[in-house]
Amino acid sequence: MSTPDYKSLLSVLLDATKANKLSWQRELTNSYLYFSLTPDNSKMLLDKYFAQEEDKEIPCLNFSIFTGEGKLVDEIVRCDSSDETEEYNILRDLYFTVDEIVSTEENKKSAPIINGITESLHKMIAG
Amino acid sequence: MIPFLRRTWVKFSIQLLVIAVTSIVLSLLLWKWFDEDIYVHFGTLEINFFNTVCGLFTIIALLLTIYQLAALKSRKDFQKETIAQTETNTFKKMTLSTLAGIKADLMTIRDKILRHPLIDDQLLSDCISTFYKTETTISSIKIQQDNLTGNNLIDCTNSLTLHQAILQRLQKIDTEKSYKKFQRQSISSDINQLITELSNCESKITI
Repeated sequence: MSTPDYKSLLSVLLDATKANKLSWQRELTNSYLYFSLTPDNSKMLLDKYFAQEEDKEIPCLNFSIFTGEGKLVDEIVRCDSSDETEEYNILRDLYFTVDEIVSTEENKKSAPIINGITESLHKMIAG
Repeated sequence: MIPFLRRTWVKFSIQLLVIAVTSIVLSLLLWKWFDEDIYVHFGTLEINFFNTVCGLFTIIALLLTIYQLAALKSRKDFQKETIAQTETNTFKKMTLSTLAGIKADLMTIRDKILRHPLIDDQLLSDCISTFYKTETTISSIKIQQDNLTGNNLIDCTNSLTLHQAILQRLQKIDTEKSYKKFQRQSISSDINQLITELSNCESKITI
């Protein structure tokens, strides 16, 4: 994917994510963030890891697109190094936006369970 | 031994019966062809229906014996063929187990590539050493096959080509120390394709 195409896609994705139009999920086994596009079920995946650069470990973000059959269409890797800071920042904005939305959703689901445990513990102490 | 003799005896009886029936049918046809009332005397030689059947029986039995003797392989040929067959089957079984091992190694390294939190020289070194090991194993299958029969029992050429391409890609990243350009999804997708190629290679092996 050429840089203009990539920037344009990420910009649209960021807008759609902020507008809550996309349903991102976290893949617990690999800690990936991904969402599936209907109707063809193609999948977009965001992944964060580190790469060695000389004696440092720099954060990197990976954005991959898969077909419905799981075939890789394209993959972009950008790391927080001096020569690609701008492109990394675009990807980072998307990653952190998605991460925040997914975490909020997860917190909403776990809140009643945590409250239930807290109440049970209170009852145990009182009883 | 007894079942073998019993089998031979049954086979022999069936052959006798088939020859007898064929002789009678052929005699009937011959007698029909030359009129039923044919009756020739050559001094002591008399041609009647029973003699025709016996004569045809002898001729068919003789021809069948000659054919079976010609088809019978010498003991040495038979031994040679059996040894070759056993070696081929052993090679195929061994290759199936070797390919399963290679696939398991590749799956392990693919999962490591996808899940390792840090792309560094250690990860690349692990990947490259796994690929060196599996390349040697795939190449050794071809060498063993060439030494065995020279026949193309198993063709893993596609797997080897794809394998070399992935190894070169990994070596390039390692040599240039360009760990930040490591595309983990793309490399693991190539490894998946390699595993599929190896499975195709495996599926062609019949024992």
